[in-house]
Amino acid sequence: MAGKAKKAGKIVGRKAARRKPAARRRAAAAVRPDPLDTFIIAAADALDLPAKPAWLPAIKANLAVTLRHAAAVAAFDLPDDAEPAPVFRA
Amino acid sequence: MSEGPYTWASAAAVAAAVASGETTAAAVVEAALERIAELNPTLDAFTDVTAHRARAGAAAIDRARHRGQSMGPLAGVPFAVKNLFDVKGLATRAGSKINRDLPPAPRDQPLIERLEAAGAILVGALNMGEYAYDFTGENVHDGNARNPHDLTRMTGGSSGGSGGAVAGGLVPLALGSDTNGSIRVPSSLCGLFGLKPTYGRLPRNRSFPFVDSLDHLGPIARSALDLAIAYDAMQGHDPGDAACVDRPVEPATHALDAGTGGLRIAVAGGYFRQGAFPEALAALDTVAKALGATRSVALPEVSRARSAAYVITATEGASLHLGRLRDRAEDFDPAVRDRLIAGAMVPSALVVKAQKFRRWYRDEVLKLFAEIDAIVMPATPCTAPAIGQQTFVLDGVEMPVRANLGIYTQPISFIGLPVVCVPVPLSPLPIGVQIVAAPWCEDVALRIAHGLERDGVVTAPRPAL
Repeated sequence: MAGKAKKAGKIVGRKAARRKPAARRRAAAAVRPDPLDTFIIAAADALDLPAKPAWLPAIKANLAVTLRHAAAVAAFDLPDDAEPAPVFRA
Repeated sequence: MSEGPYTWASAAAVAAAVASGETTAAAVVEAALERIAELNPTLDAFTDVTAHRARAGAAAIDRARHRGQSMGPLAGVPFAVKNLFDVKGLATRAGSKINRDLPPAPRDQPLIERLEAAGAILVGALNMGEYAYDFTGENVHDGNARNPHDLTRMTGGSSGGSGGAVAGGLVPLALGSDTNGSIRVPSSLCGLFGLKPTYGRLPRNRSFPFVDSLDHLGPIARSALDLAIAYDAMQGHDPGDAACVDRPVEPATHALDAGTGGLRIAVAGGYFRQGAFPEALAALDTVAKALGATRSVALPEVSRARSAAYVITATEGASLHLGRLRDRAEDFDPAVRDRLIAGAMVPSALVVKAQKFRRWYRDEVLKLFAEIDAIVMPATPCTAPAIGQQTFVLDGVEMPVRANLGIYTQPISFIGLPVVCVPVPLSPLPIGVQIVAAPWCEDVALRIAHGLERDGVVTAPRPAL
C-alpha cells in the first residue's frame, strides 16, 4: 500500500510540475486543509476549548481579524529593550 | 407618558430643589420609579429596579433635611448603574445568563457608595451588552436596549441601558464602564454627555471586569455640570483596585465656568477623518469652529494602536472567561462566545508585542500634550444604526457594526486618556464629539464641554417619547 501511495504521489507531482503556478496552488489548496482551520481544531483540542463544527466559521472569521490586527502590530519595529508597562500609567 | 417637574431636570437642579425644600427626595424618587415602570417595557434600559431601597434612601434624605443636616451635592438625585457594578443583594450579571447564578453581591461597588454618600439614590441596575464585549447595546438574554430618539435604533454599547435610561428621562445620571468606548459610544448615539476618566482615576473593584488593562468606570448625564458633580463625588483612591492611583482628589466642578479662553485646542486629523460619515464630520467641524480650533494634529500610528487594543481586548477577555467557555459555552451569546474562543487561540508573543507597542504609543501621544491642552475628534463614525444592523460601509469597505462603532474611541482609551463625549444635536439623530485631554486633566475636558454647552453648541436633546 505504501509503495502504491508513493507511486501515485509521484504521478501527481509530475503533473503538477507541468501546471502553471496559480493552477498548482489551486490544486494544492484543493487537497490541503486551510492552515487556520487546522490550527483552530488543534488549538481547541490542546486548550480544552469547545469548538463545535457549527461554530467554526465564526471562530475562524474572528481569529482571522484578530490575527490581522496582531500582524499590523507585530510589523512595527520596537527596540529590544522596549518593555510593556508592568503597571500601566496613563 | 408620565412627566413630572423634575423628569428632565439636571441632577444639579434636583439636588438644589431637594436641599431648598422645593420638593422632597421621596417625590423625586416616586416620579422616577413611575416613569421607569411606564417606559422600561419599551426602552429595555433597566434589568433590576431597587424600589424598596430607593424609597428607604429617599426617606433618609428627607429626614436628614428635616433635622437640619447639610445636604450633599446630589441630594435626592436618582441614579442607576450598568449591571456589572456590584449592587448589594443582586447577582452581578454583567449582561450575561451565566452570572445570574452568582450569589447576591454582599456590598455595593465603591462608586455607588460614594454617590450615595453625596445624597444620590440608587434606583436600579441597567442593561448592557454581554460581558461588555459590545458596541451595540443589544443583548440576547435581556432584550435590546432601545434608543429613545428612535426606538428602531441602537443605543450603542456596551453601556446601552445607561444611555437609554438617561436619554429617556428615567434618571438624570447613570454609571457605565468603558474598555474601548462603552461610555462614549452610547453617549454619542443617545445624545448625552459621558466622561471616561483617566485610567486609574476611579476605583473598579467590586465591578465585573472585562479587560483589566483597559477597563474604566465613569458617569453619563444630560449636562457637563452633572458629570463634574458626580465625578468629584466619586474621586479618591481605593486600594482594592491595583490600578487605582493614589493621588489627591482634584475637583473639577469649581472651575467649570473658567471658559475655554487660553486653552490650546487642536482637531484630530488623518485617521479620525477617515471612514466618518458626513454627520460625524459635520458635528466635529461645528465643535471645532465654536472653539476656534484651527490646528490639526495627527496622532502617531493610530490605526496600529487600535489594532493593539483589539488584540489585548480579545486575549485578556478570553483569559477572563476561559473557565466559563469550557464549562458553559452554550450559555453565552454566540457572538460573544465565538470572539472569546478565537481570542483564546492568539499566540502570547503577539499579545506581549501589543503591550510593548502600547507603551511606545503612550509616550509618543503624550509629546503632543506639551503643545496642546485638548484634542477634539469624532466619537462614532455615524449616528445610531438600526437595531440588528450587521454591517456598515466605512471608507468604501463593508465592516461589521459590532466591532467597528468604536474605531475612534479605541485608540484613546488604549492609553487611558481622559475624555468627555459631548452631544451635537443634529437632526434627526444626535452624535457625539470627543474632547480628549492629557492624563489627569479631566477638568480641562469638562471645562470645554461646559463652555460648549453654555454657548448652545452642544446639548442633550429631549426625545419625543
